[in-house]
Amino acid sequence: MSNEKLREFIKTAMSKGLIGAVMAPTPTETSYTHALITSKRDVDKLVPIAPVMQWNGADMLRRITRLGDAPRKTLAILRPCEARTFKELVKFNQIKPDNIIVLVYDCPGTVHVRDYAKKKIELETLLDEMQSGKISDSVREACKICEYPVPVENVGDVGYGLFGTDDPVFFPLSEKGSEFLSALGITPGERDAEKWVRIHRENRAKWLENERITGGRKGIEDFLSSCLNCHNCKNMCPICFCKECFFEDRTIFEYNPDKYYDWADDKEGIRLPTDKVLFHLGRLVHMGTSCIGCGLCQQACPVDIPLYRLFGIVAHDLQKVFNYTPGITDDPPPVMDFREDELHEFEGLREGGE
Amino acid sequence: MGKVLIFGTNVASLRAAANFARYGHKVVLLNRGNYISEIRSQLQIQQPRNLCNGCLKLFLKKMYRITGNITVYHNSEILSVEGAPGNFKVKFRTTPPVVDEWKCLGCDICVEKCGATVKRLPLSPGIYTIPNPENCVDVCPAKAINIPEERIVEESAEAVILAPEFEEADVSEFGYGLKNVLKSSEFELLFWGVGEDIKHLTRPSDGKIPRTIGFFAPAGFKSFLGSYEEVARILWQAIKVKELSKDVDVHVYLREVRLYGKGQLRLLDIARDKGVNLHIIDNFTISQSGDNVVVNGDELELFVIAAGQKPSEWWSKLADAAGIEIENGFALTRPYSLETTRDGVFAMGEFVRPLSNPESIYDGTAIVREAERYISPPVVEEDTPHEYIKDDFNPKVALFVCECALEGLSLNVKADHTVYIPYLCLEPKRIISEIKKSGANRVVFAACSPMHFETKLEKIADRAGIPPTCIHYVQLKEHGARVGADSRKISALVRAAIEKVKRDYYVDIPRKDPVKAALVIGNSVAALVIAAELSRHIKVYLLADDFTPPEDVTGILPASLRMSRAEFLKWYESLKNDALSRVTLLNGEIESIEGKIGSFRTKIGDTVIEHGVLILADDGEIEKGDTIGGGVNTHHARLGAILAARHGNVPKYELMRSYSLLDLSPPSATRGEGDTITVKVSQLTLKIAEMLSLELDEDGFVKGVEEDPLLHVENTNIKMRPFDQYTGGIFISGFSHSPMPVESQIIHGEAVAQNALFLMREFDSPAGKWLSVTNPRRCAGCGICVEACFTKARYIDEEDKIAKVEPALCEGCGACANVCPSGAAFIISYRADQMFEIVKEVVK
Amino acid sequence: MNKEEKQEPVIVGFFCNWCTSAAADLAGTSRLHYPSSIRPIRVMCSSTVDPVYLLRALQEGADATILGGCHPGDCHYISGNFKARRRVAIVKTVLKSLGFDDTRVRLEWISASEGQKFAQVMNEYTDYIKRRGQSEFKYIDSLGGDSNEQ
Repeated sequence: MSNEKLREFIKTAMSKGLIGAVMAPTPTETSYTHALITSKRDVDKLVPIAPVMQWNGADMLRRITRLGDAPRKTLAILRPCEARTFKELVKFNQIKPDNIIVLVYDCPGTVHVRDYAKKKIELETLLDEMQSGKISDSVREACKICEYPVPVENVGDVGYGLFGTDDPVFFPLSEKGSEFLSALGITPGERDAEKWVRIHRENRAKWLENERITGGRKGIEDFLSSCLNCHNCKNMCPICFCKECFFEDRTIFEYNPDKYYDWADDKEGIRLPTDKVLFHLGRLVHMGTSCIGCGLCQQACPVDIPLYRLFGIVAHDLQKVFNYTPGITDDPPPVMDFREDELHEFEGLREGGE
Repeated sequence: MGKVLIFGTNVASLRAAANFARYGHKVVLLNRGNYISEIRSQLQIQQPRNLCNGCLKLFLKKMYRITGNITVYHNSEILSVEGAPGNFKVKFRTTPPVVDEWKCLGCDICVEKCGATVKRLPLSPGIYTIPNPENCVDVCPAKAINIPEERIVEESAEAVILAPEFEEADVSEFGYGLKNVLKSSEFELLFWGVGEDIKHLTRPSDGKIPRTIGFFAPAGFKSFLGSYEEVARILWQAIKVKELSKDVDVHVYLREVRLYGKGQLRLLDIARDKGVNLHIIDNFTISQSGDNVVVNGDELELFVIAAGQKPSEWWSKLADAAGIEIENGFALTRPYSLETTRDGVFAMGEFVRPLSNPESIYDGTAIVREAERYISPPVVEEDTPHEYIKDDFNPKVALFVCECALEGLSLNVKADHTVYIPYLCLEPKRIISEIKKSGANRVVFAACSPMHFETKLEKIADRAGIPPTCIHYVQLKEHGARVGADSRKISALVRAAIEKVKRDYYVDIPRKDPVKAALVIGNSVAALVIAAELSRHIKVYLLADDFTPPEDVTGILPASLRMSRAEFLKWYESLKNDALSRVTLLNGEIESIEGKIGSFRTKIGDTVIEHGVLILADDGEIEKGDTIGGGVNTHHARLGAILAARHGNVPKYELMRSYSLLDLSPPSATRGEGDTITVKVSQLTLKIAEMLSLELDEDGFVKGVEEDPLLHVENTNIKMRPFDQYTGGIFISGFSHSPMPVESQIIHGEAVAQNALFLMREFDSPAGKWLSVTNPRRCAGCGICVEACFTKARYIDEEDKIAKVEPALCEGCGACANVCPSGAAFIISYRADQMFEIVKEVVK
Repeated sequence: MNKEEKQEPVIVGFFCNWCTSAAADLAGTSRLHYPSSIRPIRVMCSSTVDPVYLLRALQEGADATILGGCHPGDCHYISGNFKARRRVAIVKTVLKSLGFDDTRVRLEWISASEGQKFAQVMNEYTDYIKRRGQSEFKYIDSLGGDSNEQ
């Protein structure tokens, strides 16, 4: 139903020449990937709202438009977290937004890609649970505690409301979206998704309180004890858009033999490979201020470390310091900006740290 | 090569000395004190809190060392100036300082052997006093000790420039002398050297932290001459006190809000926001009440007065010796010039009128233009390029340790070649031969403060073929024995340097060979001055249409203010004809401006011109009103005050009614609000600013680096450095810059022209070996570094979609390297792998 | 390195060329003593210091790091110290968030004329770090250290 209506929407927009391409998910044998289509005949191959998120769609748009504007008017169908990533990556000059229309929908959450492969929990189940006002037990941890599970004004262009309405509604999120809808002859509809947001935020508050990694060295070492140092979390992170990661630079992280032995002397034995924790902390200090909270780091972890508890909670603390919500706030990201009169609590020595 | 004699050591004269030397002239600098900056200048009196002795002289010292064109005489007094322009004979009395501060190594042997005492100052070995210097001359390894015998010296000079220092006015009539009343300079010194902490804010009588403080600037009372920084400074101080403690009740008393600088009125808002109580007063009373004072009825525990300037009495003696005239105690200059009533003798800075520090800087730069007609052409020696040793893969490190810096500690380090020398800086030949003998291709110097000797030692290694990027400097002395450090620490520091330098490689630091042409846009007086000056040396394109004579907002100096409209028009015609006789006049719309400093390409209509610098100096429209002041540009008030003084028809003023020498007879305006006299920025200015992405202030004028409203108040060291490269090859003047009276447009225009001329020679990246570069393979083009770059040296290349660097703009701060998450942006001499090596070694 | 030497803390200082390094200079010429534990690294600007360098110093065995820059408004590079402050805020927040001792990263504004302040800060900080004991950060990913610090 919700997907069918979206496909009709796409077809109309294509017939009217309002768009020349669409980026949205398409099913695979055991999962869904994003697909780019350029013809009306391929629309039915899309499942615009999918029960899993294998990649972050904004990351796909980054690949497409990093080196230049989308050559054709493209409709991108994104989850709220992907739309926020989109907005954040525009700030980092990674996506050229000019020729892209973003449609964002009320998100029922997504199933972990590995869970989906095992037992196919379909979208309808998730939507039914959503309509009954309950966050599904089947969705990923990051989805259960999502801060913004619905479209937000000025994040994306067109909203697609599903929660609390039998007949999905379209509504504008931006001026561009408003023009788009009126060109399609669609009257904006309304729905109330306040409850959907509220229950997520209640979950989130509890999560922030209970799942925090504490205890300094022991806490982080224990948390990461099974980490393979595969850097897959970084590879899947849409905000880690670097071509080459600082922590994979061999001129820096390849040492002379002596160094290993010196360290082993000095630290009373070292675990190998080295610099495992430094990698995670480094990623946090480099890009934590822009963590969107899509949770793909956690989904990517082959040994099921609940990494989003590390990234999400530390990022939450960081973002509070700078009063910045990535993907929502219009300000430049904290790493690109500064104020003259701020952060005085970080100057000098404030005793009483942990 | 020309030769000038400069008397005085204030902001204007220090800069002038550096500028003449840099441009290729010989300079004789006469200093009144025992060392430079002993006699305090306006800047030192107003802003002593963060101002360091060394910073003040940094630029001068650099030019002294690099050009060798500067000779300094200390304790000097001019006796006579004979002769004529081009051939003056200046006779002066001088006594050499016991210790020459620029030769002194700070080794302290004289302290040990001759009982010398030292006043320690930042960025200098310190100022030494030696009881019997005769017995100590041979003790000094650097031959820095002189016997202080007074002598009479005669120096020849083609032009003479007088710029003696500021003198603080007597403020006893405002209560100075009462208990717990300080001058603003004394107040600032409470924090000198010890840091900004509320615990240092203590009052003299009982050492307690005052709960109520009042700040007062007497400007506006009894023709009190303001220097136009003190109001800004006390507002700044009041704000700082509030930042240190919200509990202190802070009051500011002003009759006129005299601020110099664009947007400086923001200071008033900031002060109010921080909870400072502002009192605009017309009467002032002060009395003692126990340990406190009562000011206009408010009981205050501490009271701070910002004294303005007064013309010094001895200036008339100086004027007699130099054969120039004085009016109102200040040197009298000719209309629209810094030249005094005697040909070839110039006066500037604090000697001519009360002025702001930026104006001093303009004076000290414009003077090179003004003196030009009397002095021989400049000569610049080109560095002879030579072959560097380039071996990226087989590092061989020579370590030079200065025993003077080691002070008895021992080093436990291994280098390919280690040499201990008693005084490293005194043995250039030995260093060169050791480098050559050892076959080293990397050098580590372990010596003392890099501020004194790094450049010198690098130059020596350079002569031995070691490229600058393969040299590292360790500061041994000040981080070692002198602070009680042990051998383990200094060994770790030196090992870190050795490991770092092993990973250095040869980098050819690019030089810029600019297009020797300028594009001047606009038809202001400043534009004509700039075009006239530049066209004597380089190709000048002037884009301007009609040249209607401007309003006669002539200026504040007596000769300008007295100028009649007819004289003014005559002067204007001759300036215009002079400029137009040499420039290529262009007409048409600007289609595009491409390129960067040194190589701009501008399309005007169908014509494309190439030029190395761009100058925007358009006219604007003066909107006349009945009130002095307006906008956030405090310059408007001066403009209004001059109009009022010339036409006598403005009955009201908002916050300030007079300015500088106009205070001697301020316009008879009363406080009130009305239609203010403002300058409307031209459409052309706005258009060009948009094309070049230049920032505008609240009134629409283009922001200039040197006059950023708050920085200008706070940042002292910015005033000590050259601005030319800093501007990115784009200079703003005339009404595009601020509402300047004609006189200011001329001086500012001349300063801009001189700065532009500095850029018309081949020049190095100001970053030197700290140049920032991009690893294209890694750069994702996110632009974080572009935002971080304060000189706009970094930009996203439209074609390659990665961040690139314009070396001519890079200052080497490294902010880009810090923000780049992937390490694609880095400083060539401080790569992350090197930093990691350093960190690894220093913790040992 | 013997055991006794290990008792002394090591504090890596990243000092900007124009202000804090100059203050260190003045402390030196003025012969103001402070502990050998301070290991200065001269950088052009406080903003040159990538937060990862601070973490790396702690990982290499420094018990603390101190970043010294010019007072706000007095930066040689206009705004470098403001950018540095943001970086320090990030590192300290990350450390604190995970339960590390964030006082082991310190930011201090010390101007060229503040030689006295320089020495005083270094003395006080060394004392403070001594009181807090050895940093546990050094032993991350190692077999050593006492994981029950304090």
